[in-house]
Amino acid sequence: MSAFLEVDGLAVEIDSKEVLKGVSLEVAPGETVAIMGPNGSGKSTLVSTIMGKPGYQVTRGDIRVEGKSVLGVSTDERSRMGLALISQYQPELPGLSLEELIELAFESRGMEIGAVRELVSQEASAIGFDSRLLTRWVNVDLSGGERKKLETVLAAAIPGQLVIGDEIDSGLDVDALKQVAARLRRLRDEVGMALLLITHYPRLLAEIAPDRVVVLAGGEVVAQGGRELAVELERTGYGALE
Amino acid sequence: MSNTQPLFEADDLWVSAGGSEILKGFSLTVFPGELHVIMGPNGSGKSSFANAIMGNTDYQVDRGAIRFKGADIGELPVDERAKEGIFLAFQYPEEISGVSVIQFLRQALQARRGGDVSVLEVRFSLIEWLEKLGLDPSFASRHLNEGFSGGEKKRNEMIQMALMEPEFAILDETDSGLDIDSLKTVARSLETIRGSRPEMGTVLITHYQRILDLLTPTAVHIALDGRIVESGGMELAEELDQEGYGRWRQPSGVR
Repeated sequence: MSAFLEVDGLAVEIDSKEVLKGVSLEVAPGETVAIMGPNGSGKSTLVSTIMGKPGYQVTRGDIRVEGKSVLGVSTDERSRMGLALISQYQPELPGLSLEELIELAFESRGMEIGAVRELVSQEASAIGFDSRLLTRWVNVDLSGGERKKLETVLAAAIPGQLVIGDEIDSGLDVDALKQVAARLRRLRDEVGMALLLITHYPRLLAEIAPDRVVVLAGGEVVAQGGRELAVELERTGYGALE
Repeated sequence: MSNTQPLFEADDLWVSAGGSEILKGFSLTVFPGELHVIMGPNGSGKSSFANAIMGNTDYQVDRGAIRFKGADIGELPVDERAKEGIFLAFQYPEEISGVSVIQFLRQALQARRGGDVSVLEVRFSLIEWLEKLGLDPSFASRHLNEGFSGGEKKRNEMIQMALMEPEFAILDETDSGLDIDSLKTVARSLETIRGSRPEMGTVLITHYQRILDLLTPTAVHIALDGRIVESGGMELAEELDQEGYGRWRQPSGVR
């Protein structure tokens, strides 16, 4: 099976400082890949660069989606190519209701808003939100964990082909973690969505069962393996890999 | 230690934010030297508790009292509470471009001590603590949280805590987003700071049993729907780690 996403020898600088030093990684359609690594190893830089966040200077290598290079392609265009990101921290957006956000996000994709609203509503109630969520300001008065749940709701409503989760499990309580993991698992198993998940916790991986675990340290891939690698890291720490 | 006066008491605390009641009779007593752990589902009021104790004006105390060393501090503004020695380590530390770690710490220390603190003094104690906690000395010259990884932000919070010499510290999910090595660093830092300040009381908010394995908590409390529903020892953390919050959710049918 050919890869949906290919990261090929990617080197990235932020403020002239090299953060990624030649990272290669592939995700096939429907595949689940976990990225682990110490804080500061370049995990968030990798996903930000994949999504085309400004300020991340690609100095070498390439990022391809279905064989086409996306370097120089805008973030919204990458989103239309099937990439979706659940970011690590979700800001409060006072004054903007979720309903309005959905309208802005989905209208530009030519989707029918009524249907999307209905879908988001269903997804939200399935994960434990009440019906007022749509009319409330985005993330205002939501706890850190609730914001992660909301992102999962939106990811499920957007028809992406690869969902990238940057520490979606950080700050989630044990019950919410199960709900979020179950939703992502269903996206993969029922819709065939690929998942690229950054995590620090073997618990998420036990719920989702990744096909591969890739370990980043110091801006490079230092180890690859199966799920057992996550369990081993929990025991030994990253010291042995550096 | 129960023969001494409580360091901190939240006494039947009812708190609202944005018009809705978030804490509904939250009570917690901490004696000097104790480490209390609060665990609970997302949205159960843990961070609101921390914010209300610190005096964040978005949170309004409707009923009950917050006492520090026996005195009611419910009316004090944030800076006065900080001056009293109450410290909050944030769940999501903000990036502040243009402010160096040193400048920030100096301002904060001056506010805490109520007098002038020299840059040199701050630099010396920063270097001393960076060494004690095994952290990178380059921290001192960087801008506050700018370009810091999640783990560095949390380690920076521990440094701030050490320098502020608090009497009562609340750590809001300091362990969320930490890799296993950073988690150990933060846990060890907390134990080192507690060791150097044996009278300090600490409240740690967390979702994970794994940091508790590295610490010696006095008690573990389960928060649900704005109040503490059960208190006990490590067995509570183990139970919810395995079983989730189902047992506590059911009886009252909350949320």
